Amino acid sequence: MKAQESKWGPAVFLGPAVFLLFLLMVYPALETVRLSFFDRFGENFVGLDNYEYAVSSSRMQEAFRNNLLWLFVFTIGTVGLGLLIAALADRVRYETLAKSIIFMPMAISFVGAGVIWKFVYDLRPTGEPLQPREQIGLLNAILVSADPDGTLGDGIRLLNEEGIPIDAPAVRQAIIDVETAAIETAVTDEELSRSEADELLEILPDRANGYLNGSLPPNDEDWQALGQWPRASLGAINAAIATMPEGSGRAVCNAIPHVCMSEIERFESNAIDEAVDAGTVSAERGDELQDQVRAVALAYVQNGTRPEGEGWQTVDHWDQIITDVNQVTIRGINTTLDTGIQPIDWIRTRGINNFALIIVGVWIWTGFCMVVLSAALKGIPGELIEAARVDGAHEVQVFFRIIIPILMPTITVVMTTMVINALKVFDIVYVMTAGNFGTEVIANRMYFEMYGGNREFGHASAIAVILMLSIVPIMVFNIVQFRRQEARR
Amino acid sequence: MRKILVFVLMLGLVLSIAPNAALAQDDECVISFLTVWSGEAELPFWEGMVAPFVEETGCTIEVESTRDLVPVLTTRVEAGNPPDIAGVPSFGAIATFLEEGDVAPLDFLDVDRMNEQFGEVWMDLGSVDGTLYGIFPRASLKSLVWYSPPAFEAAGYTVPETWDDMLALCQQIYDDGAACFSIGLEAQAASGWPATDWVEDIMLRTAPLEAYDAWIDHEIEWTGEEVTRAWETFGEIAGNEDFLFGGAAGTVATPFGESVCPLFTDPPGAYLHRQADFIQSFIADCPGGEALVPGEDFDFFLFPSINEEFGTPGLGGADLFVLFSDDPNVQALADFLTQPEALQGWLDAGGSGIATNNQFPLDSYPDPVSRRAAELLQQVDSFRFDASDLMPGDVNQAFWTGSLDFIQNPGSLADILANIEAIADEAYAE
Repeated sequence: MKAQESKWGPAVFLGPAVFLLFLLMVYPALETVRLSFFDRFGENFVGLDNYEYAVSSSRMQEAFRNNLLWLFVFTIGTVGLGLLIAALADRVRYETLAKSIIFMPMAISFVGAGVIWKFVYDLRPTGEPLQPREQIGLLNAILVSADPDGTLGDGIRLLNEEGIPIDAPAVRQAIIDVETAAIETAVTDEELSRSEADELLEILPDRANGYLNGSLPPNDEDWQALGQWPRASLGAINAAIATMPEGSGRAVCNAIPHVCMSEIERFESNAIDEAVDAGTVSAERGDELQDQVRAVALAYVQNGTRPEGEGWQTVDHWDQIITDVNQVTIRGINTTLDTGIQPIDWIRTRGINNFALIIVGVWIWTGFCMVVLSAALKGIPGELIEAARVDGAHEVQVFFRIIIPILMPTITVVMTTMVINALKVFDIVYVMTAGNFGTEVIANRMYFEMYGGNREFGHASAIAVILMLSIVPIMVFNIVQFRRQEARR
Repeated sequence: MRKILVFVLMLGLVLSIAPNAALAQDDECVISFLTVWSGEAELPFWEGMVAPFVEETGCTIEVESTRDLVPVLTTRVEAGNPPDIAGVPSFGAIATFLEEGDVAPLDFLDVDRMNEQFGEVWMDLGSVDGTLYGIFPRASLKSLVWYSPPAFEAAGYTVPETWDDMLALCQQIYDDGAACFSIGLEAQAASGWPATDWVEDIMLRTAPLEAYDAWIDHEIEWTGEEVTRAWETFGEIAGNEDFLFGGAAGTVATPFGESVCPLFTDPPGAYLHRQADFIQSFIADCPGGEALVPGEDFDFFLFPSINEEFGTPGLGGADLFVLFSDDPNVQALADFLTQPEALQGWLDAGGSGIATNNQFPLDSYPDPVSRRAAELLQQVDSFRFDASDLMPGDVNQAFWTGSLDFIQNPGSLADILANIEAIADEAYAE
């Protein structure tokens, strides 16, 4: 009876677990390996084609690069921060509270964390300089609140070729003209009283000066009340440049192509109409010319090409425009509009977005590293550290010479766990960017091959196998380390 | 212990078989319907749509909802247990079933009535090799540009008639200190799709319809003249940050449903928004949107012509239903869905859409804006389906992603198109 029990007992207890493990883990893994050698329907054998695709496709290469970045930055971030916090919090009074707070993100699902951080990184389009700079994303709200009125910017500036601000009397006059007209209109519409208007008119020249040299904010409230400041003034600058008497036409076109182009179009179009009315050009030819005006203006702006063909010479307004604009005395003129600190699109700007995503991962996993390392830290005998101190070691030396070496096996285990997490990262990327904007990772690619596009069983399986093969050695190493560590206790 | 295990396993088996037992009863009228509609989105509208049929015949319509329609359909057809009727994305997706004769031809419908009520466009779209297989009770029109008439009036703008007029208007709006278009491309894993609709609309207006059709089948290249020109034309607006609300960054970061809202702020942040007729329901969700009156506070015009030669074709989509059964009850349902009354139930239940049946009375639309969209659909020079939806999934994905890259960096168009072309090369080869 006893012998029988010992024979069946383990089988009965192990059976369900082994059965489920086989059904849910081993069988799917083997099936995945099989499918990775077959076409997208899992029907025809295609050899290594899927693997070739998996290592050669551009999206996958991007994924490999990004996973490598994750591997280093994420692992160093989580383990480094975890160790730092574990060591720093070790003997403070509110240690439990501090550690609980840092551990808390572990309790949030990764998808949930992705959604939360998507809000943290959120960018509201600011629209035009005059529109409210409200940001609901935490980071951008902080950024923008450092410069709520956009006063840290330089406002509108005219710069010469070397980028040095230049004085431009014509432009200042243009601003004054535009604003004077706006103020007079406001009086006519009874939005302003005469005396209020006079006050504004009196300070107008100073305002224009201050505005041009950047000492006044571009979205100053007094001006906002009057309408489209500063855009109207930009328009005024453009208009002023367009009507400046002598100078370099090409330079203006280089600096402000869209103004140059629309000016040429406008001038040329009117000239053609005049020529048709005067009878120097036939109505038909006039229509033909009108159709080409835009292309001709564009060619001039882009390449300096002058139009050829019948009609253009007849119209002969072209050289007139160039002579007009050529007389501008300033060469290489440029306008800039700087409205101060701008919000950043954290998860869609290449170069920073991968780090923004990795920070989310670090936020989640640091608590885990901290708890494990903290437990190991508590296991270090107090006498050891006392002895070191008695021998004259200061705290930094104690940390690096005593604590770190003793913790090394634990750090290795935690680190390999984090490496695995970095390799199989999916949820954060899928929720926050879906792998767009250069944030692709291997697991996300696998998902999209399977569910996002053509239902490529072959491609997805091959990617899954590659991912599995890259993780297995680390896993084995991890287990060996863990056993060694346990054995040492 | 083992007995318990066996019992549990048996119980699981029994439970999994049980629901199928209901299907075995043949004497009742039960029609199975496979669809991607689920939960709150559109399924209630469908229920409203078929309510009169259900009431009259006493039939039960069993709805099976799945996100993975084609694989589920494939499994069921292969297993000899197809749904009676299914809403499918396109004939392309069910090509193998058509070849193998699994799809039932709709020869029981009155051909004269169908021709008269649906016209050539829809009969052609519903037919494969001259045989009618599909019906379209409801369509949507995507070639619409939305604007706010009061805002236009206040600023003194007029509705542009051509693309060049629209560019001139954009320049004017920019000079006046606002943005021309508000475009939002954020849509989680499908981010970028609204931009693909733009490119398609432009393609229809800058190239012959044959080129558009060839593009869908990858008979012309992404790097070729027609496709490149369509993207470049799109770039005249989307590649110019001055014309976009929030610039390029705002465009890729704004959820597509929210991007219509800047049209209704005071002062308006932007003046134009290009989107399908369904955007009406999103307008109501904007701050203060519930108070906006369709036709007064917001309206649309047809996406303007770019090259006169190609006119103003309509871009859109429609629900395609096919039958896998020749049961008279199922046929009766199909016939019901082609009747003008069918759409009424859908609209009454709160759904949006345009009738494909020209007998549907125009004054039955809930508001003047839907009515005008319906009129426009009858008037467009020709009608084409959303191309990206008809392309292989990989290519569609690459199209979405490519449009995001294009907004961020219009200068890299050649690389973007070469990349999509490479993906298309592979996807169509299979």
